Amino acid sequence: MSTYRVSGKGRVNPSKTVSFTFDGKSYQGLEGDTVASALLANGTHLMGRSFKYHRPRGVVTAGSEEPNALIGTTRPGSDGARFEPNGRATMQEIYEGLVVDSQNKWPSLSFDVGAINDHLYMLFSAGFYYKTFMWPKSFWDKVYEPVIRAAAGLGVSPSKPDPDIYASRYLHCDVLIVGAGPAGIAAALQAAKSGAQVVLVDEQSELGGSLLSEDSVQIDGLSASDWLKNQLDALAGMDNVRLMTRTTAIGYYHQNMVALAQKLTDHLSNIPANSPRERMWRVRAKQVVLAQGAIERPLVFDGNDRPGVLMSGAAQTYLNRFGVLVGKNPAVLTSHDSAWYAAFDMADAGAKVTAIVDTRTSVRSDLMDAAQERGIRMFLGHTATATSGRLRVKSVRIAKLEAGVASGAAQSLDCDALLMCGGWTPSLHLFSHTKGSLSWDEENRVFLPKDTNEDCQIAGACRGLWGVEGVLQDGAKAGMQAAQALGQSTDLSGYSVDADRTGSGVTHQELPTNGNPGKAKAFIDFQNDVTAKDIRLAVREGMLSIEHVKRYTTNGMATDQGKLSNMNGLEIAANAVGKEVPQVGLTTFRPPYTPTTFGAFAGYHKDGLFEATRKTPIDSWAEENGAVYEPVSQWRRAWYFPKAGEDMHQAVARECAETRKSLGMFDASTLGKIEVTGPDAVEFMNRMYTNPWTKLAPGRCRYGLMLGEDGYIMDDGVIGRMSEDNFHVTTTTGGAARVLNMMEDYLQTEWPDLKVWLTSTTEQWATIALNGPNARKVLEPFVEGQDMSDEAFPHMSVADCTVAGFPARLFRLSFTGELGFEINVPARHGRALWEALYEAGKAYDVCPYGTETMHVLRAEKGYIIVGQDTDGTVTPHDAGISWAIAKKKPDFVGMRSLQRPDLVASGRKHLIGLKTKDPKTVLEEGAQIVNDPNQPLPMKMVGHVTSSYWSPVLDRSIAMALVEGGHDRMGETVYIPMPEGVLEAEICSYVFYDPAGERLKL
Amino acid sequence: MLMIHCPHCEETLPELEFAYAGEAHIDRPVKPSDLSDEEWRDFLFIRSNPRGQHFERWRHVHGCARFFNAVRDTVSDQFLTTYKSGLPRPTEDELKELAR
Amino acid sequence: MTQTISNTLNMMTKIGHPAGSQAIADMKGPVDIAFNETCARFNLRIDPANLAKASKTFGLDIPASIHGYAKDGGRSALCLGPDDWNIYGDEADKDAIAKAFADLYADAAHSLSDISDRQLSISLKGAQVADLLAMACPRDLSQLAVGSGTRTLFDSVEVLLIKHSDEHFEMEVWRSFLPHVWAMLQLGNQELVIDEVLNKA
Repeated sequence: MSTYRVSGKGRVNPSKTVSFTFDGKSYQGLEGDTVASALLANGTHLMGRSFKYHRPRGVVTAGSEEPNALIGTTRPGSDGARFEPNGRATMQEIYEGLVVDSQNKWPSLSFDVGAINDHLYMLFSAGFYYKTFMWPKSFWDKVYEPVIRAAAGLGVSPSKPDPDIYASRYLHCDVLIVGAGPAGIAAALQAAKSGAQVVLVDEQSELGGSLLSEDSVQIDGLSASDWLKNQLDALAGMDNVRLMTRTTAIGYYHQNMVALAQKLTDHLSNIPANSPRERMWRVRAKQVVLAQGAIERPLVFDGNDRPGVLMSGAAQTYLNRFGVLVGKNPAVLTSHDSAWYAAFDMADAGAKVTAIVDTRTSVRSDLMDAAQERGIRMFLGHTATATSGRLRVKSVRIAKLEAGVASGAAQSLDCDALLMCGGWTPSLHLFSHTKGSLSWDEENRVFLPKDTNEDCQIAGACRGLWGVEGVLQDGAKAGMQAAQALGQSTDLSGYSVDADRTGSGVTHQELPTNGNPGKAKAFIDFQNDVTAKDIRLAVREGMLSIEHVKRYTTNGMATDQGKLSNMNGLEIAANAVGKEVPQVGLTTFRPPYTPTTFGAFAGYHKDGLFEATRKTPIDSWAEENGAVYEPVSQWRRAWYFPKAGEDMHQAVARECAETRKSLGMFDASTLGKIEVTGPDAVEFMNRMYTNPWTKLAPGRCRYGLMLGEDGYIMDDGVIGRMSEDNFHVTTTTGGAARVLNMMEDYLQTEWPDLKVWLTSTTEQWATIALNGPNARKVLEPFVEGQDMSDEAFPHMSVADCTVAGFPARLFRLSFTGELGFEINVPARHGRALWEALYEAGKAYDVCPYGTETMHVLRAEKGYIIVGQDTDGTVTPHDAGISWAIAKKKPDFVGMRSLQRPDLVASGRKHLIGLKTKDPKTVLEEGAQIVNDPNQPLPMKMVGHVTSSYWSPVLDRSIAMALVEGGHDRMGETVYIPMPEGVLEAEICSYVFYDPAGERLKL
Repeated sequence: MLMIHCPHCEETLPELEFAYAGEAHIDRPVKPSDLSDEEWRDFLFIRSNPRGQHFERWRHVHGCARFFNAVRDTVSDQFLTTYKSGLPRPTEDELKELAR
Repeated sequence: MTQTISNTLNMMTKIGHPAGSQAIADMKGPVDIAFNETCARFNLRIDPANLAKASKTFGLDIPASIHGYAKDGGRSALCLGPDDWNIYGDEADKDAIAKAFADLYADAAHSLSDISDRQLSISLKGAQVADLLAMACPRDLSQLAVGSGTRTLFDSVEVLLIKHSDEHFEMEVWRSFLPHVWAMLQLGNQELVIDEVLNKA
């Protein structure tokens, strides 16, 4: 058994030892230990090095507020993949084989080269980022920044992909209680009694909070641990209660939504197969009870960061919960009664307490009597001025206070641990997330919760109460208020507590010292190495707002978010500014309460589930036939179909050529489709689209152009009139939801009188496009119920018919410039039709093509793609498609805007074609265009390339571009400056191929 | 995540089901061509952007799919009320009552 | 579900990091997740004033209030919005339903769109079905009355949920989203088993 373990004490399992390693050395702990308690049981306080000065640091707390004992953990057998930096040794439970490493040290924790920084204090004082490394300027990028980055920082990032699964869950309940100490448990019992659905959560591995550390208190005649067990058993037995451990409430959001990060497996040596590692709960509670307790405040004095100097409450927890003495010869330094109890517990467990040093001149007589009984020396009205010891505290120097000033001869007290307590800070983190207001309690010098807009009760030590009985009663009251707010009444439970440990105390700024204050290293923020001096320096240098002081000194900006340091920093800053604390104000608390993994936030959304990937009914065929995919909005679409040995360029060139030569087929299922039906359908279409629809006969279709009300192109697509009162509207792939939303908006809110209704049919249909001179020959034998001749079914026709035995909606249209058809069949038949057409098409060397070939073929014809050739600032005139605007309609969406002064002004950017001087050069999409490449920098950019491809049929490159005044500049040369040189191109029509449309007339 | 009361479903439901849709009570002119450039500009672009009570539109897009109006406090993010499109604005007295 | 239809879904077969990826087919859990038979499904949009006529035409009292659901024999109807319903019938009745509404049109104009193939229906049965849905559905489904339904979201995918009983939900999903939703459901179902193991650990 390790030397600091006290047998018979604590809640760990003495019969079950657990082995783990720390910095490569094997350690033994007991089941139930944290890394910190197990190391302390082995006499190890030194657990880390500080951030800036690389000072040796020991564990300071026993909870999630720990600033110093940050560790990297590696799960054995994971080949380093399950590594996590910046964990807290106080929260990580040990399990067999756990690998723990300290951080921020080189070459070892006990000898760290970086500790030289400690002697270069003047370089690293407050605001050092802004002043120390300013000269010479050129050194910043190459020398200072890399060196600082290498030396600073905490743990290293994991280098392998995270193999774990993360989960999430929504939860709706009546009462959520955050914190399962006495207040939270009493609240849960009270609320549960009313029948409410109750959720009680705590970040620790066990419920109980401070009761786990205060066994001597008697509640209702039972020891704290027996009482706790009874109550937890009772709660666990209720169907309306859910108890959650290892679950941190990380944020409190609007309308009582609280995010809980639950650790599921980080404490297990054997993880069930496929278990998620963490789960993020999004809880919506009708009532929230905050019972987060209070955090002990350090005292600020020279050497207060020496390993072995720690919070008195932590020492009490290590003893009573884990059965570990943090020292055999501890001294206590306090300004609050609570540390006296820690001293008594340690003495009773066999430690020889050197002395209790209290800054107060008078202390409750019962405490003094109890100390006397145990033979503990007392130094009232004393201050600490220094500590000694390199890797562990050896002694503390104290001096008597007279009128608040250290005076008289200093004396040194030997100790192997120093328990400090500078009072307690109520935990108001979650309360503050609600934008709750705070009030300043001048007597106790703490902020207390005041008002919040949320349905929230706050109970116990987090509203400044002290002592188990008061906290229990307060918790019960909060539970009752929560139940009452839900319309349920219960009798308030009462609790009787014996041997309660009530207490009070005072707070301090830096402890008075008679040492040289300029040399004192009295730390406020252990994690970011901020000292009292730094705060005062920041104020001297003009930082008067606490938010400025925080950022200039980095006080409270480390991963512990100032849980220990904020109040001490504020007291000192207020003093330095010469204002009262509430006038200086508190910095803002923000979620998350404790560091939270990215995995917990991402949840299921990684790897294949990263986001929903939409697949068409023909996607499986494309996959089986070697398609390369590209994402188009949420869809994955076949991009091209490479044959063996082909690269993308070769595949696309072949697909283009074969389609123009004979026959290509394309999966167009992603196109948005909207059914527009009703007696006012044509009127609605007239108002939504620029084109005229009244005279479009059933069985015919037309290109439709939709503008936003601002006059810019919003969407387009071919629209078929199926009957007098029914249109089949198609939209762009990415615009489907947006267009339907806009249509519904006008219909519901501007024109509710119109009798017309909309239904999305995007996914009802699978859509196959057949294009090429042989398209009809392949299709015709499959078609029943429609004469396929050019006369009976001319370009821009639509018909309901049967194709390959499937009910079909058949369009004759073209997005390639070739004879083309789009066949819509119910989605379940999409793949069967595709295969039938493909088989039949083999006689014509049918070529399946993807989106890239579709883009090339349409660009050769100058068909725009909304969102590529337009960007939300392009009018129909700019795009050269004014022909799509009806001349005689009284109104349509966007019509009035086409007369806006800016939209009729000259010099607008027009969509034009570009031919590079060197036909082999393919421009880069997005490349900027200038008129004069020799002008001085910065050049005036007159436009940019929107589409650019190699055109196999033209055997040259083609491009479309938006260029100022482009329509009036046909034949002119423009320049495209690129990294490798300036390219030249000539402005031309963007219809590059078959401008007369002869190829459609087959 | 806010909870929003849908006046059509008559239920208070998670914000995720809803989409914001801009300021409310801006009617599209019946005959836009009668408007001057300035009037049309104001209709298109000029919005009140208040600190405090904002009349705005939402759509219960993943629910009943209806557009409706809401009054939300832009400081606290609290919804004071929601009501169907086409209904008049709540009066100042009504809003004062709701703000309590 | 017929082979023809499953062919056109191209379901995800594996989930997870390549090193530890897991076959979806191997995932088991307490909730019985299965595809429902395909059916005739229409989106009916009609002025609520004409709902009685639509009910008569359809041969079922179509519920008037949002979330309302009615089922009688082979016909069922779900009210999604004030003028928005999904109506269902046996696949064999599809043409007859379409014809009946076509005949109604002159008297009571409306829109009836065939969406039989737009979405597929999944049956979710088991005591823990609500827990399974809670992995990705933000709604408090205990507030959804038995025998009613709604549009909502599941992992940001719009779905339609019908609550047949506390232990039996039906979920309709647009087919392109099905591979994602199906994988999520299977993963969540497996997680319910692991929860039990973890609770004992």
